Amino acid sequence: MKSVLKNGSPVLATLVLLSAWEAAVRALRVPEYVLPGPSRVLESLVVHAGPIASHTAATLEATMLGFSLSVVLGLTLGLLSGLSESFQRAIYPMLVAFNTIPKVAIVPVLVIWFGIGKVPAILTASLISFFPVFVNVSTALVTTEPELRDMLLSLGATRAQILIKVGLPRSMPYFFGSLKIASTLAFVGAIISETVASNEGVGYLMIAASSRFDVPLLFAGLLVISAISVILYAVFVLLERRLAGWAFRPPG
Amino acid sequence: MIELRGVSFGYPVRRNDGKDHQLVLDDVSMRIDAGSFVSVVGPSGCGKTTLLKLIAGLLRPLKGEIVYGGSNGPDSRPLIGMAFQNAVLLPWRTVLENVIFPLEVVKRWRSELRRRRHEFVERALALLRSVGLEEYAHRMPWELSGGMQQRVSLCRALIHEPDVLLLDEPFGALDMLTREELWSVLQDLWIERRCTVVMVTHDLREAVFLSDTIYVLGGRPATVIGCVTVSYPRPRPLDVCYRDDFVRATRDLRDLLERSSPKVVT
Ligand SMILES: Nc1ncnc2c1ncn2[C@@H]1O[C@H](COP(=O)(O)OP(=O)(O)OP(=O)(O)O)[C@@H](O)[C@H]1O
Ligand SMILES: [Mg+2]
Repeated sequence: MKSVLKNGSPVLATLVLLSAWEAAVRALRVPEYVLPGPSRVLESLVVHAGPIASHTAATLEATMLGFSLSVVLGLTLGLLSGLSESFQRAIYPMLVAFNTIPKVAIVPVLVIWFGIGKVPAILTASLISFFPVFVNVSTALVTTEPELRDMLLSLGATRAQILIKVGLPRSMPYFFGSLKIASTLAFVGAIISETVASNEGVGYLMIAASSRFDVPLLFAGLLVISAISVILYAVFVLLERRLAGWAFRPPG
Repeated sequence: MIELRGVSFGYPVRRNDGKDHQLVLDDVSMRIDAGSFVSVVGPSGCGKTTLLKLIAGLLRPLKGEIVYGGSNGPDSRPLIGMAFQNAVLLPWRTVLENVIFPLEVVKRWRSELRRRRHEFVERALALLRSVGLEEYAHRMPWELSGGMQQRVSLCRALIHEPDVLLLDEPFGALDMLTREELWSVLQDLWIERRCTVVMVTHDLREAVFLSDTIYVLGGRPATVIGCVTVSYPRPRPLDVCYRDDFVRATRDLRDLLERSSPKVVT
């Protein structure tokens, strides 16, 4: 009973919220173009299932491509700055400064360079999401126990060997931890770019719906976005447990 | 044999007048006979770990030289095994894989790893058996107690058959009973292999029980202020610690240390 309650509580909380929402909308007769009830949103989701699916596929494609780029970029920068302290010192301030730029401000630049469409979405996705990968990997490498380093050096190990034998395996939990965050960020980045400069994707769909005052569709889009975020997160949690399971000791 | 001849060392510090060195060790000379067990004691922060790193070749002396086996050519440095106060096992590897780890790194063994894997595993298991951990070979490090992890760390320090074993307060984090138990484990391993051991410790009884020679460091910057030889026959049983001359030797060592570090008046 207890475990049912424990595992079921997120579902229960969601259901309570949704019914309260539905009840309030009906009781107060809130017009649909202000706030549609969940049932209406669901209806819109079903009615527009076809276009929603194809736009979602486009967004996911941009997300995954951008995410892959960001993993390569973050990993490379992370490894380099873990290997060389001076490299880290040189690029860290720049990356921090870059990371604080709202990425929506970069999209116009990307549009000038690459035109409206998929490329800005992919690039925005990767630019918004490489930072956590970089920070986590470089932190993992820098915090390698000095004793381990000493032991390896005394055995005659080279820098590359230390990286391969200790640095990389040690950074795996940090790396997979960052993927959870980076994947959802990439998704957000893709949508941001689509709302500004694209003719496909969930972001574009929502802007289009908004200009037609199709608020139920707008909410359906939001629903799809949060569902996908949760799924992405869950996928990478699974991957993390699989590939860096040693870092999770059983409790107690 | 390892000989330290007037070794001085300091870590670089930034001063107003440009870069300089804050001397930690000054004019340290030691003779460490091959196959002997040498301990280094001294007040906290006096540079014992630094001394081990110098012997391991991880740091270079500012002055003086360290001579290995009578020559000081670049390739004369002996094969080294190290263990520290924290076991620092690799958490993603099993106990057995942790023990084998140095064989994957040391040049002499690395090339033969694939061909002789089976033999190496046997060697690691034999080592684990000798410290009483054979049945833990396939466990993960975090399933072991601190004392057990330290035993694994000892095995890892010995698997590649080093000429010199460097131990930095290896039992410092353990309770007294476990510590005394591991003294005997270490003594047995050493008698069997007769590699040269240099051990840093805070525990004077530990130093007297295990060592042939004890160097006392003191002063700031630190230098050798005393050298005590212990000549009890081996293997030494644990109750040697309760003999009068053992207790006296420990107390003499203590006096020497105390005299070198002026008391702070509170
Ligand atoms: N990497 C480093 N850079 C600069 N100074 C250092 C470094 N490592 C140690 N020191 C300084 O050198 C001195 C000696 O340090 P060391 O670690 O060798 O002492 P120790 O005798 O091993 O101390 P303990 O008994 O507490 O382990 C200390 O004053 C310490 O502050
Ligand atoms: Mg120390």
